[in-house]
Amino acid sequence: MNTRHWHDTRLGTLGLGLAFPAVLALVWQVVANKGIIDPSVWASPWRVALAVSSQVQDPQFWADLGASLWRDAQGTALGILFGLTAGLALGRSALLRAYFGPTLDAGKAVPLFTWVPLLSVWVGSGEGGKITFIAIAASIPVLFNTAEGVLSLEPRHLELVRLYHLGLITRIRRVVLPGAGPGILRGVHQAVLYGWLATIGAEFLFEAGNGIGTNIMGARDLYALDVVIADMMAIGLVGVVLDLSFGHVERYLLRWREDHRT
Amino acid sequence: MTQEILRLNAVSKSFIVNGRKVEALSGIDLTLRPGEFTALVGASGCGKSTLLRLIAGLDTPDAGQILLDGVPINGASRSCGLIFQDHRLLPWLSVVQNIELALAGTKYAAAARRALALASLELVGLTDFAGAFPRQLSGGMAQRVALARGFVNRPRLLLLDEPFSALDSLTRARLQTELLRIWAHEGTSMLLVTHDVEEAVLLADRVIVLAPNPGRLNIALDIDLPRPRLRSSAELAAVKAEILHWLDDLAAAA
Amino acid sequence: MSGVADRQVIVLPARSNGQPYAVGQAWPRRLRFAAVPVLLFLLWQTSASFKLIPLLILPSPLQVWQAFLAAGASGTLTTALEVSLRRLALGYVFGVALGLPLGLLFAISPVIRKLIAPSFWFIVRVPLLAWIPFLMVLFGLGEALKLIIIAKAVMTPVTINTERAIHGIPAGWRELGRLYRLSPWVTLRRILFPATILPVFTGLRLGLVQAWAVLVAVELLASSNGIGFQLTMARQLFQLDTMLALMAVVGVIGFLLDRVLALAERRIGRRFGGAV
Ligand SMILES: Nc1ncnc2c1ncn2[C@@H]1O[C@H](COP(=O)(O)OP(=O)(O)OP(=O)(O)O)[C@@H](O)[C@H]1O
Ligand SMILES: [Mg+2]
Repeated sequence: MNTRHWHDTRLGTLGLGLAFPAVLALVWQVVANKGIIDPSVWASPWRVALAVSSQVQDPQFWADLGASLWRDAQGTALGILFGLTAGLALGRSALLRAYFGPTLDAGKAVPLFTWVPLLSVWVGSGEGGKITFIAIAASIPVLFNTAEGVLSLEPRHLELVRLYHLGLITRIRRVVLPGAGPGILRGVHQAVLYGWLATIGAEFLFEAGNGIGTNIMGARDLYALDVVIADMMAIGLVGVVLDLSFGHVERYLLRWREDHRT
Repeated sequence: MTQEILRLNAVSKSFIVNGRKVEALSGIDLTLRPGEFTALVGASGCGKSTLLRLIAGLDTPDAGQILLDGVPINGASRSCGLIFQDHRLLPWLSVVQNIELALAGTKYAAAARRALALASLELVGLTDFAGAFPRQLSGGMAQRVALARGFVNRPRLLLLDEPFSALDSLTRARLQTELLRIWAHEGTSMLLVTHDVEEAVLLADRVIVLAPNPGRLNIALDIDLPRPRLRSSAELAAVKAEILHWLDDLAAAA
Repeated sequence: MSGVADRQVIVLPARSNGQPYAVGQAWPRRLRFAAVPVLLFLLWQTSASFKLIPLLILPSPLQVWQAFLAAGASGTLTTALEVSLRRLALGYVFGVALGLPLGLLFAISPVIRKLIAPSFWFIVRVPLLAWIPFLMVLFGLGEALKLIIIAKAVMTPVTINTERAIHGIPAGWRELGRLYRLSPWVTLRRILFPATILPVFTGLRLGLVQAWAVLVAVELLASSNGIGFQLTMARQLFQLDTMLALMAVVGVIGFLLDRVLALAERRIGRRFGGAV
């Protein structure tokens, strides 16, 4: 039953994972070289590689990426802060849940981007509108997951608070926050990813400013597919890095769980 | 003046289950003497856990009075410890942090708390696992940590709710010995709930039998066998048979 | 008896049964939920009546209602909805048609999973909108762009949930099938299907909700028709009454899609979930 296959090794897994994109790139390159597809539209992998290297050396690219990341960080931080506060309050208070829960549930079903036109009128189409939008995007998963996490605290654990006369600080630090921890972390993890998505979206939809989203749209206007792909890969890479690093933080903080993988 | 650490006067408690009133305890009178080891036996569901929760101050009786050291209890008290039927360690705290939880809000500084927790852990022989999480412990080890947490703040009265019922007989025997050692060492008064009559007779100075439906006190039996007691001794077997017989009669009457 | 009566009675709440709580589910008294919307509406009406906020920035409820009726009467709303919903349906079908087999393949063949999953995962992690410029260069503003984006949005949760569902079948159940020498058909009908239907359906629901969300984003950004485009038009013409009416339509549709499927999911959960 437990026979090890060649693809179970680390090298095998890595090799297989890389094989697929490698073959794809190869076919694409060959097809491009043979002129089967229109080279003026379909940039070949080689040209994409060149675009990547020229982008990496271009200070404008780094300035744009930095601007986007900074915007993302501000909006996401605001959103997480709001979501956490509101989520904790909602999770602890049945009264708040009774009054606000259904409205919030319904509000969640409104697609996020529907708010863009309204925000651009009410908050403005500049930096303020963008950051507000990112904050809204990030706050939603945090709010709901935090409330859920707090609600899932087990009464038998809360009972220890009474048995040992735990004070407010100890109670929050030792029981409420870690008990709701899985929910909170799930929410923050999603918020980090949503925040980045919303950053790109905001740069597309609000007025043009600096940022990687503006950069990629500029390349699109020039039909520079190689640059578009290079930018896209950069955006994707940021997403992947955020996801992976947050996954590590999450696993570390949740190392007490039954299902923790060591 | 008092030669009693705990006194219960006509304590009653009922629950509403499925819209029906279930009388879990009715008219319980009970006194415990300081330093005494008391065992409480009774069929499943006869209200043993309920009684301990009332004494620990986690629930309030519908009627009657509970005096701890002559004073009516009001919520959980520091001088009364409780070891739950489940080990109830917080999964996100390490073993030593779990024990320290019982010391939170006491006058001790952080370093002193750590030292006390480690000392208590040593008592149950788990020093090496101080940094482990509960999920990394076996059931018996987790139960020992719960014991260590129960002892760490030196309660005058320790309530134990079937702490060994989920363990295999070998581990149980070891922990029983350990419990006796700690009891002899600390002089804590113990109230041990169990449905293992042999355990009750082996450990306790006095065995109290609770009759079911509604839970009420039936008999109290002084066990004056000399210590250390041998599980296999004929005297012990005789007392055990007597109590089992009693329980049988109770079940038949119900 | 002193000291007993004045102590508060603590009733232990039922133990958590591991089910996730919906935040809105716990409201005790029937109508409390309406308080917040009603209050918001009153504030809105007050603001409009006393012109606290310029009507250009926040039109009155009546204006929004009239804009809604006008958009309906002129046919712009119905046409836009027809275009958008057709897109939604087509993209959704594509996404499911790709996602279900892919999830199945990932679950049953470790080689295929190791081959494709890393690329799949990278693609999932590239924020969906970042694909839009790429697809715009290749396909212009045409229909293909929108269908691909929607299909991708649908495919992601469908694939992931399908794979998880199959992996989540307890090994003991499969063994049961072997123990009683059940035929493949009976195994599928009695064990595999009931064990996976609920998580797979969750993927289908999430897929549809995301598809609607993404559709609006694509239409805002790169479209010349559909409800999202009408929203952009209203914004550019600064017709906030129309804009708010359209937003409400989009929100209500998203809400209904979610609710209807959540209801179906609960039904399926009642029928098959008890077994898990
Ligand atoms: N929180 C509660 N809500 C409702 N009913 C309860 C509650 N706690 C206990 N009961 C009821 O009180 C009765 C006694 O329960 P209790 O847990 O005290 O029994 P027990 O003697 O400890 O049983 P066991 O040996 O199985 O642990 C039972 O009928 C039970 O249904
Ligand atoms: Mg019990």
